[in-house]
Amino acid sequence: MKRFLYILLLAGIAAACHQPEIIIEDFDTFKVTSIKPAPVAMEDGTLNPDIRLMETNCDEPETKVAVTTAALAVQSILGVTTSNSVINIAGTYTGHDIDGSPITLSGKLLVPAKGPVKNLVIVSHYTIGANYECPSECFPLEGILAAKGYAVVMADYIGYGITADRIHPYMHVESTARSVVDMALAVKPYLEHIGKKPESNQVILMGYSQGGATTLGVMRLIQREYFGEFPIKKVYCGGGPYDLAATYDTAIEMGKTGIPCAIPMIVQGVNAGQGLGLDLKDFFTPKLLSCYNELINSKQYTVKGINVALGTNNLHDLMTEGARDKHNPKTAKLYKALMINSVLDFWPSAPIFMFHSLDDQTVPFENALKAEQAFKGIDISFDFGHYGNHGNGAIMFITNVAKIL
Amino acid sequence: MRKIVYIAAMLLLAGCASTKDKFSSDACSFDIKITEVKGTRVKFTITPQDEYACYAFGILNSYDPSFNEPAKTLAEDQIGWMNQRYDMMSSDGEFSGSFMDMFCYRGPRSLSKDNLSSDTEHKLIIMQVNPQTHSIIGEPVVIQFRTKQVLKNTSLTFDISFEDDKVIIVPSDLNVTYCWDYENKELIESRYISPKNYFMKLVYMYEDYEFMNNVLSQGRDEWEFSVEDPEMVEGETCTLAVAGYENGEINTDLTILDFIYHKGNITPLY
Repeated sequence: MKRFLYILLLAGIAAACHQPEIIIEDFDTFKVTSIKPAPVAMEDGTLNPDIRLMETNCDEPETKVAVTTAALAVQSILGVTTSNSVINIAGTYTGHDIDGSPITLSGKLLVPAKGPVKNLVIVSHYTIGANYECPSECFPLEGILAAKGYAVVMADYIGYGITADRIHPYMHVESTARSVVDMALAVKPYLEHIGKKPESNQVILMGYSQGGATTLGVMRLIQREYFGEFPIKKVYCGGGPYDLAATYDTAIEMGKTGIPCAIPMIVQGVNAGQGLGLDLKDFFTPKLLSCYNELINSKQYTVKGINVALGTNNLHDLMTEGARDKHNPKTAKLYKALMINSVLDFWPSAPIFMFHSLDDQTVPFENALKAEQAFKGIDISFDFGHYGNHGNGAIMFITNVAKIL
Repeated sequence: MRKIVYIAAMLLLAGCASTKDKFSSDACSFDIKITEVKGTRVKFTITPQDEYACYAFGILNSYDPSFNEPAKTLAEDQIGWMNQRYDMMSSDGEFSGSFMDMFCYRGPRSLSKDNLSSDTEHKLIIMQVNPQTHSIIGEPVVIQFRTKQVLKNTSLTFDISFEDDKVIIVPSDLNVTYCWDYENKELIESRYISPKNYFMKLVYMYEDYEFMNNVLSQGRDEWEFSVEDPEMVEGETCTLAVAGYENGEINTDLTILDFIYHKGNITPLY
């Protein structure tokens, strides 16, 4: 009997010492669909090859050195990490659809496997084409910040992840920003539940390219509706199309852009998000009409893949005269929607770091200049320099953000 | 081999580094051009002869009591205001900005200023700035300009009514040109604070991108929502604004009316 009790006692002590696994359960609205620990750096010191980097421009060959450079650059700036292992938690949550009704959306939460969490970093992701590029389906580059002791939350946006069958309301700031904030709201109680509640309730906002503009949209939305829930510590935005009318007009006038598919995506996305009721036949050439549904809306192709399949950088091959006709009331309607979906019409009340490469052929530097004038007089720091193309700029941006954090 | 690639990567990164903190402390000249003056708006370009010269600008109108002060005094007032604001903000523990980024520019710029007083003398004050000491370098430049006169058509009024699924706008003078627009009320209030602010931004944008002709009307104008805007949401509250328009300017106060859209039975909120 004594031996039995002794064994029972030992078993009890052993059970108490066992590291409890993360319990998968519904908590508030965030439902976990997968949990996967992954290292940021491999044993030989190289970056985990699963980490998804931004594609290089169509015009630039994706050389091994270019990819290696990006990987080494990112690895070099990680510096001291609190936890090389990052837990990738994919999940779904209840967010707002375009019309404000509830909708199930998806995204990714990344937390350090060990050590405390300093802040919640709310990331708005950049332009993607294929669904497998969305945060819930990959290890997104921004997630490496979790290794530095941050909880990183990244929504997929409507049109990706669990809603991949939907048209993505590309550059419709209200719905994309709201899906980002909705996910941040959903993961807050979940983080506390798994013992990863951030030490500070201040949040950090971050995004590049589409994510850069969406990040300012998130900031505007939080200031308007969620300031109590998410006091903002700092905002990092890079390479963003902050003035959408200027971005569209510049591309249409020049007849080219670094990502040709982005222009029709803007028209389709804003049309869907803003409920404009535009007929895309009035904006897309027959060449584009014949293939945009397959190339863009199937979510099977990356942005680079779409551009390669389109076979042209010339926007005049893709967009009709109507898309740039100053006498067309339908085009005027589009420009009004582009103005409404720009993000320079508010007064930021938290510090901003804004980054843009002067050599950016994809999102014109003009956007940064417009933001520069609009945001004079606030707590802001700009980093404008010759950082190479849009993709190289993304690497430099996250490098700089990681250094500042 | 890996070490060579790593060193190459670091050299590449170093080469990409910006010179964002570099500034010139020697006075330089500026090429300044006023490119457009309208009733409430001015556009101008500033090109410093030294690419590293930092500069700031301010615009004053003749209603300001200091308007007739010498250029140096006006510039010192501007920099004084900037220093005040900088000191106030930088006392916040979370502050991370810089004087340079908060107030100054470096390199050529095309700039604009909206919401000016029409038919009024203004002064554009440009000063080269030392962003470290927050002080003026050299002599400031002041360029005076007058915004265009906007003859207010004070007798022009608009009758707005709804019939079935249509809005009908009738100006008191059927020969004048006017412009009008409607948008979701909550969007206007949350993003633009007031219908006037929204409407002016819309007009500026349409003018910038040469779409203004698409939104001008003359005489009685009817707009059937189900035909022209089939995506209208049942039960949506919108704000409609109308104003006279002449020679590229809004020349009346806005006539504003909110309404709730119900197909075939629109409810005005007088």
